[in-house]
Amino acid sequence: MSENHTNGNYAVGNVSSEIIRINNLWVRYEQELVLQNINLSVYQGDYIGIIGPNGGGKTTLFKVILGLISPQQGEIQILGQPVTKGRRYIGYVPQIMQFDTAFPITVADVVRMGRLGKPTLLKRYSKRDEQVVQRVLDQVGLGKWRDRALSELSGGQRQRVYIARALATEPEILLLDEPTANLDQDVSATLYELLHQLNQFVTILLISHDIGAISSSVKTVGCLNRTLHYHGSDQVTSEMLEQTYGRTVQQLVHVPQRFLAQHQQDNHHD
Amino acid sequence: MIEALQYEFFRNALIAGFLVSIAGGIIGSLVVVNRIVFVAGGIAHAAYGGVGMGFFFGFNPVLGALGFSIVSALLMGAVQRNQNLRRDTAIGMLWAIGMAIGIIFTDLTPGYKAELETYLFGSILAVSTTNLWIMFAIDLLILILIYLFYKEILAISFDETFAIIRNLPVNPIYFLLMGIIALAVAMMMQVVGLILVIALLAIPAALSAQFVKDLKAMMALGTIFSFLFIIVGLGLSYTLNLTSGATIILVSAIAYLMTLIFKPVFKFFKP
Repeated sequence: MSENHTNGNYAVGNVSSEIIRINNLWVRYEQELVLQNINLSVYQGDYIGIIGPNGGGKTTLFKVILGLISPQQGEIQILGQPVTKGRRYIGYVPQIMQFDTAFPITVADVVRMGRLGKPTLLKRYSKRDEQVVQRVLDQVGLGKWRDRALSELSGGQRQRVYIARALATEPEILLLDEPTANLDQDVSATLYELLHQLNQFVTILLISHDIGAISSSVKTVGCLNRTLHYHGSDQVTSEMLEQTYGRTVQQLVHVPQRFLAQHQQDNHHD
Repeated sequence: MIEALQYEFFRNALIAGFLVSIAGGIIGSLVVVNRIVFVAGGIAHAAYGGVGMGFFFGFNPVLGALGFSIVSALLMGAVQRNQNLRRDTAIGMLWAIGMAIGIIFTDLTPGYKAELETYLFGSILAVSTTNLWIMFAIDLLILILIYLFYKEILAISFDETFAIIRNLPVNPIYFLLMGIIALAVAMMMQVVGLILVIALLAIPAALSAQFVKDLKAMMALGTIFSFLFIIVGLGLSYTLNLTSGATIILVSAIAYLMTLIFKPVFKFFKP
């Protein structure tokens, strides 16, 4: 189990490349402990996938990073700032289906929301805003769809619209919440291809319960089930999986070979 | 119906219908996409408290309704924002408390109270010139506020979480929206009555949603539908001697049902 980080500049003091820093984070709902002593540093250029079972605290971790809930203990900094200030550097991509496809709105209107902020109050969108909207739509391959109604789009396309909206904020990091949760396999594969391209200029942190899909794309993997196992490595050890999912994991999922460092035998169960 | 146009009250009714349609189309669309039709219904009923106070203290009941609907809208907004409350229960209580206050105050007011029915069931034929000017002013205010805050209101209606992360002033905008809804509800009350306000808010907007691809178009088409239903309903109520508010609502409902039936047919023939 190696401790070396994929980012070459892994050195104390190189603060400029640290996008998110989480120190000793604890979150409780009522009496239930959801996150226990989480420590995580996300560096520029990272592409981290955090996996874990439903109810394992993935969504809570995102909510804390986005400043939607406050932790009982611990500290989070985004580019050295507290979350409510630093979250403007985050491009947040929610799951599709959370929104009503019956909402009458065009693709461009959704993406323009990425340009909103306090400074745009009482102002119209600028020419530059419109240029950014067109650029990010081209980036996700939806340039020609800008004036279509969101409801006309497929699930995969809608997920791309939300990625475009996040990119329109000109973020330092993309946070994706189960980006392929409601998509079929082929669509998921092309989406991960897109994320791989985007990672060339933006840091990515995503959460998913889908080990198979996530692990074929990300640079490094963490496992979260109340506690976080992350070593800045792309190796998912069987200990990590056991601690995260319990002993039955091999009966539940098919884990790609390169991720199971200590398991050479075929885990696939039919 | 044409010969009716020579009467001032009938011309006023058409003007009132037009003014109400503008507020109804715009605010109805916002109420529908935000899924708060019942909150709007609650505001309308709570506004009756202001009507009762207007009778008792001798000021214009429309202004009383306006004040009460704004206060109740802000309270309901606070309820909606509070995760720890049972929201529907709290809104139901505000709904009934407002009405109860109105009833008590009218009880305490001596004299004949036939005019009360105007506020319960609406009377587009009885809208005074003063109230037309109030309606005009409210329309203007609604248009200005929506124009100024359209993109923020759109953002929190579509995806509030994203708006919060962008550090938009989500709560102030939400309460602004509730305030605008209150304005619209208070003015629409005069035409269809507080009991039927939610139908005139919801039906034209829900109908137009089926034909448009963005919120602005929904508002515009909702306004047109609303005016159309008011004219047809008004004509029918005049010729058949029926209550105007209820006739307008039933005309709207029939139009909505027809599109539900015929829309699949249209879709079938579309290339």
